[in-house]
Amino acid sequence: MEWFQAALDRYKQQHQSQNRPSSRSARSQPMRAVPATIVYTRTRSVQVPESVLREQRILAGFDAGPFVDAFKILRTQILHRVREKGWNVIGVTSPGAGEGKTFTAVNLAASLVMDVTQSVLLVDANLRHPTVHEMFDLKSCRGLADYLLDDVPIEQLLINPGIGRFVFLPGGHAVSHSAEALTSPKMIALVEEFKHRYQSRMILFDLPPLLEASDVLAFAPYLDALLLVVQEGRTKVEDVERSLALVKQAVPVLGTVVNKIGYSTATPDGMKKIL
Amino acid sequence: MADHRRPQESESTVNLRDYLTVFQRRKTVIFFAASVLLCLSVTAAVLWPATYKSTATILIEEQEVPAELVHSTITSFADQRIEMIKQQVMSRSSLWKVVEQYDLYSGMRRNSTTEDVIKRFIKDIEVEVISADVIDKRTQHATKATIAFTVSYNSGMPETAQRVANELTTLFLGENLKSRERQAQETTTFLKQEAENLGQHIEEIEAKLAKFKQRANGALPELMPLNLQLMNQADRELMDLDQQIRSLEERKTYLEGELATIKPNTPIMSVTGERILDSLERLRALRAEYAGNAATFSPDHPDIIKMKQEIAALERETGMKPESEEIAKQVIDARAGLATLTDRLGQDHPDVLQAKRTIAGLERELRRIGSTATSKLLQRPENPAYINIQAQLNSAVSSLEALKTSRMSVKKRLQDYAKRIERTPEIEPDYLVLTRDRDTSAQKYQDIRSRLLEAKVSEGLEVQRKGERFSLIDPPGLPESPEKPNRKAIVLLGCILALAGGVGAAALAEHLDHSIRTPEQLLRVTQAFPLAVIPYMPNRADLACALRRRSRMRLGGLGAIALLLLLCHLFWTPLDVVWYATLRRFGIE
Repeated sequence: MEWFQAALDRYKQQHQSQNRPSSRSARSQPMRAVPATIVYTRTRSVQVPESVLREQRILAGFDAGPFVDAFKILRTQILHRVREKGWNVIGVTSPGAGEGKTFTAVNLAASLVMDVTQSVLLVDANLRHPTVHEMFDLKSCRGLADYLLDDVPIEQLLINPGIGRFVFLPGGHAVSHSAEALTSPKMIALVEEFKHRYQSRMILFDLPPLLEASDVLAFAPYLDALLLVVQEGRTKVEDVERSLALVKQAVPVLGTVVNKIGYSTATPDGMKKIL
Repeated sequence: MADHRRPQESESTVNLRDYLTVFQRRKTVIFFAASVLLCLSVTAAVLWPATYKSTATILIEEQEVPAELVHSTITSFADQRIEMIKQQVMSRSSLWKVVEQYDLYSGMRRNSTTEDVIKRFIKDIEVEVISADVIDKRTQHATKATIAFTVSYNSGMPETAQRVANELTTLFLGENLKSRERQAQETTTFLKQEAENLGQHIEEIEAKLAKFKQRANGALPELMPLNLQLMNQADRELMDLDQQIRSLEERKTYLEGELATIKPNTPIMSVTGERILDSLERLRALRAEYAGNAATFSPDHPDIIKMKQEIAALERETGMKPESEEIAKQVIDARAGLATLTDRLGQDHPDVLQAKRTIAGLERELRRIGSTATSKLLQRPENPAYINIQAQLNSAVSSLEALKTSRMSVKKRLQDYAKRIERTPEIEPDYLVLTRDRDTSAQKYQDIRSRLLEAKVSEGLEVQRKGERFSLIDPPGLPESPEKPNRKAIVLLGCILALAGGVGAAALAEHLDHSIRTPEQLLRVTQAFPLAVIPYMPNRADLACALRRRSRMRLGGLGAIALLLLLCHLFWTPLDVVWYATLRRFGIE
């Protein structure tokens, strides 16, 4: 906890120095007071070692660098747009599988909580194949599926991975009718509750692939906006066009993120240099 | 608007960096395609069977005797002739003979048809003409003239190439000589035949003409002036003769008149002035006296005997026989007297009897003389003047006779000529046709004869090999290095091809790959730049994985090469042999 306290202090100092510009830019939320320090009493806290963070490419494990900067840019861009519209529920998806949805969602959350005023809840809504917990090197744990199907209280399910005000809700076990589960009244109620429970809290949904399942389309109306992750050299132009056309009516698209730039030209020597 | 401008900008600024990125991205594909192509080309360069080419160069020499002096009967162009000879040499039968002689394409012959083998053989034979720019002597224009040609043969074995090229060269040279000689001979033979035909024709015409001339009998148109001249001459001659005849007639008449006035015998006078009878007159008188006495006296009367002796002597002297005419006249006279006497005196009167006896005696005498040869009365004129005139008369008469005869002949001649001249016009057309035919034929014959002579000279030119001829200036040699393939060139080409193939493969891959590579592509799709571009962040596992993959690939590549070499060594040729063979093939010993 000492580490957390220290980080908190650092953020406070930062916030003090950035107070004026941030208040000026955030017109939709003029009363952005520093929320009270949350001590997660009921939420299970997990200390994830730095080696795991690095291995799972979570930016909390890295010092400043192009990778971290890229997410900071993303964070800033999203915050600008979100605050303008007063949104706080954002879904992260991609046209196909394995294009970096979970990676982007986790890292976006991690970068968002670097802003001390911001708290983030990351929900693993990919009930077909939940993977967020794996990012934190956790063994299988109960999650959203258990809440929806078995009425396990939500407080028992939330996990704080030890990064600022970052809380995530694992997916639990895989559900066969994931789209139906996501659109169940219970789920909708949960989303509503999350949305209004805390001030300056961003709720991120890690969603299944857009083109491979109906989940996203079904769940889209309950989201404020959608973030589309695209992998360089993997996602096809046609897929992006199709995805955009599909969700155009249901939910505004916040924007796109290009992931894994430079993967195809990466050499072992180049990798060594980065590591 | 800005959104529209930007993509254009981005497209127009495709720079070296982008290409480098593409290269980086596609280097595997590039490397793979290039190495495959390179391997293929090197393999092809090494494995391509060598072809050896043996070439003979044959010069076309102009004829040695200047063409102004002796024209050759062979006037076709050299390359045309080469082509002709090529066709003759490359006939199936002769080529097949060569194939069998040298045992070419033994493998192919077992499996393919004769046709294919011949086709292949023809493909391996090359005949090329070598031309030079020359100036035509007659037209002063620059033209191309064929001065030489080459005969080559391609084969996998240098010795075979040389031997077959040699054989082909021999065939070409032989065929040329044969064809030239044959051509020259054919010309001569043809001309000879023509000349013979024409000669025969002329002979026929000549015979016809001769017959015609014979039939025309001097009435030929060409003899017309001569005939006219001769006729004139004859005419003149005739007139001349007439003149002469007339004058001779006159003279004859005159002479006859003269002669009539002169007595042939001049009387000889005795001293008594009595005329002396010459023996002839005496004989005549005696005979007359004898006839009277014989009637009065018996035959054995001495007077009669005396008279008889005298007559005989005179007859001997003069050679005159008693003249039967005279006796016959006396007989007739006596008979007339007898008749008168008989009428007057009666039968038994002595005078009548006397007369009867006289007649009988005269008849006896007549019979006697008649039985002996009647000798002409030799009446020799004595008068010189008479003799002279008679001689003149005689000559005139004989001249006249001669002139008359000759006039007859001249007249006949004249008629003859006239007839000829009359006949000439009707003969003329036929004759002209015949002569014209003969003339033209003869002219043609002359012409052909002269040409035949020329052709014979030309044939001599060919037979003695003094005409245009092919001389082998460069006999087919033993090829030392293969003509094909140019292995270095193939390898070089292979390198270029490999590069191009690599680039092409990359371009193709890039073209087929529709995945998103740059933020600009997203801009085009979503009308907005991506919110963030997240660089690839490798972790240890990725690095280890990449390293592992790299070492695996290296190992795999080495292993594949080793395996290939091993297979080659075990199943094909030992590697050291391959190495040295490869070195040799590329010309490095």
